[in-house]
Amino acid sequence: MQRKIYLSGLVFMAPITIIIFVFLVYPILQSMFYSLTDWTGVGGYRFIGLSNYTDIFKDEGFTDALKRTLFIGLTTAVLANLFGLFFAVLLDQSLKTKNVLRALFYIPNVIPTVVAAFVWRYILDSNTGMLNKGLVALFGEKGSILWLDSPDYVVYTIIGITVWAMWGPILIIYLAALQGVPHEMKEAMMIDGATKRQSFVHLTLPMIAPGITVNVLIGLANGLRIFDLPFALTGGGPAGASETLSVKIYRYAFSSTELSYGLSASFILTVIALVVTFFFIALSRKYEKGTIGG
Amino acid sequence: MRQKRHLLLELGVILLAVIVSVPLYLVLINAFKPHPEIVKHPLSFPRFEVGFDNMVNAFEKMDIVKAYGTTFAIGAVAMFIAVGLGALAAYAVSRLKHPFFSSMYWFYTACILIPIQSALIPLVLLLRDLHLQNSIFGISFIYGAMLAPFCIFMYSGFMRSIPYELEESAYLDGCSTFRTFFQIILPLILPVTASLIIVQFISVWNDLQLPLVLLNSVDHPTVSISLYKFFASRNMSDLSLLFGGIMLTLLPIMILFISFQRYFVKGLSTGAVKG
Repeated sequence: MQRKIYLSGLVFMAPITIIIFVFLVYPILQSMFYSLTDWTGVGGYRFIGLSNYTDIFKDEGFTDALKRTLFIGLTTAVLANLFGLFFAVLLDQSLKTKNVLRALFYIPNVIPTVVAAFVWRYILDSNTGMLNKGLVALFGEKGSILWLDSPDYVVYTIIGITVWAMWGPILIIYLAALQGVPHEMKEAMMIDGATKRQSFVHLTLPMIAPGITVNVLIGLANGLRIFDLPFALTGGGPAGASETLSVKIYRYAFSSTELSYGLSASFILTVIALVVTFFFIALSRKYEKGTIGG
Repeated sequence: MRQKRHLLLELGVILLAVIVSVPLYLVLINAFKPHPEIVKHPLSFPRFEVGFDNMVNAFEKMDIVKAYGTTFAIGAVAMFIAVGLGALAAYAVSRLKHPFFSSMYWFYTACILIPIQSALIPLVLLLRDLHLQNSIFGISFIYGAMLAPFCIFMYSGFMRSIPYELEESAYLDGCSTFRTFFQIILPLILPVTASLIIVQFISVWNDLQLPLVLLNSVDHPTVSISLYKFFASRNMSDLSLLFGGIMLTLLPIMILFISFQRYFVKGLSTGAVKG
């Protein structure tokens, strides 16, 4: 009986596991393998050790994109979570307009990135954009900011739009987690003389810890692999100032001489995504153990 | 005093919701204005002089019907793979008490973290070798592989909370594992299924990168790609056409979101918090 159940369990798992192996795991392994060769996409190849990697790290455009990707990934994850949690706490206080607000906060996540990119480009354009027109009207010519056309600001613009697009689901998950915190326990703590902040730090935060983990993972995963927004908003410009690792990989992939750089960059992106997230999971496990178990 | 603070708070949150919704508002009003009016009064309400002309224009020029069909077909196949086959696998990893199955849970969860961008270059060649290049099936399989791990993660979290007694009695009555899954488990996971389908379908509908790399936009234009290709070359010279096109891209997905909003918000949150 048990053996029969296990056998059908294997049958249940087989189709999707095969698809995941063929279309996800195998290509990733291939990326790693070919990144150690001088392969150009066609014909033979020979092993050249790590020289693709030493070469790519000499390319300033690449190292800048690498740092930028880490910066965008970490900043958007932190900001989207801070905003998401803050407004989830506010919405949790049984506001009358809660359901409508929740939907409005979620909608940016539903809007296709291409649409978001075009609309934001329309809003933020340096000369004709409505935001700069408004700022000029308020503060004079000095008020105008090069949101998209300045290499210094464009990263922050992208972070802002990404947080705008990403925080809806995060907020929803926090709201659900907050509703799982029993009201009686909060009241009991208050009666014992705890302040609002104390009950938040010692009761609410530990109880919503699994939600925090999921949300930070969502933020990191999306932030580190971001492609659509910089591609459609600025095309990676000005002068490569908004190129992320994914955009770089795309560019390398379509240039016949740099294909192997693209493979090395792919491997670096995988490693970063795995290392950053595993580091965070380890950290959050430690925290969850320290607060709930201890 | 307390009442007043509460009201102030509510007003603050509403203000933020208004700011966050500015882009959507711009699309909704400017889709009904002629170009000069959009330039002059971007924020004002439309006077409906042009009616639905912007959308009709965009409709005629963008070949949007083909784009809807393509995107919908890709989404449907991808959903069958990611959600359908994912649910089966989730049942095995979350309900069968053998260490092999629970270790596979960690394998799937780790797969969530793999950025598909890292596999892009080999994927192009893989599809060529499988004769799936520039086909709806090729890209759908990739979406399936990419989205399934998250579905399995969410389903497993949810399925663990289902009491075992239900299945055990089914097994004792001589039900096969398949029948148990389809008759006992499947009805229980419908809410999660609905929310997963909506969330994942939206992400397929909105994706730009995979169709950009894997599909020829003339043969198989997705909605995002046709909007991108159509306006990347035209810049912002005709805003009424741009907003008409944006409206066409946005409309189906907004209708989907609004009609299932309540449903999927609930499913999404239970799976994530328990998982």
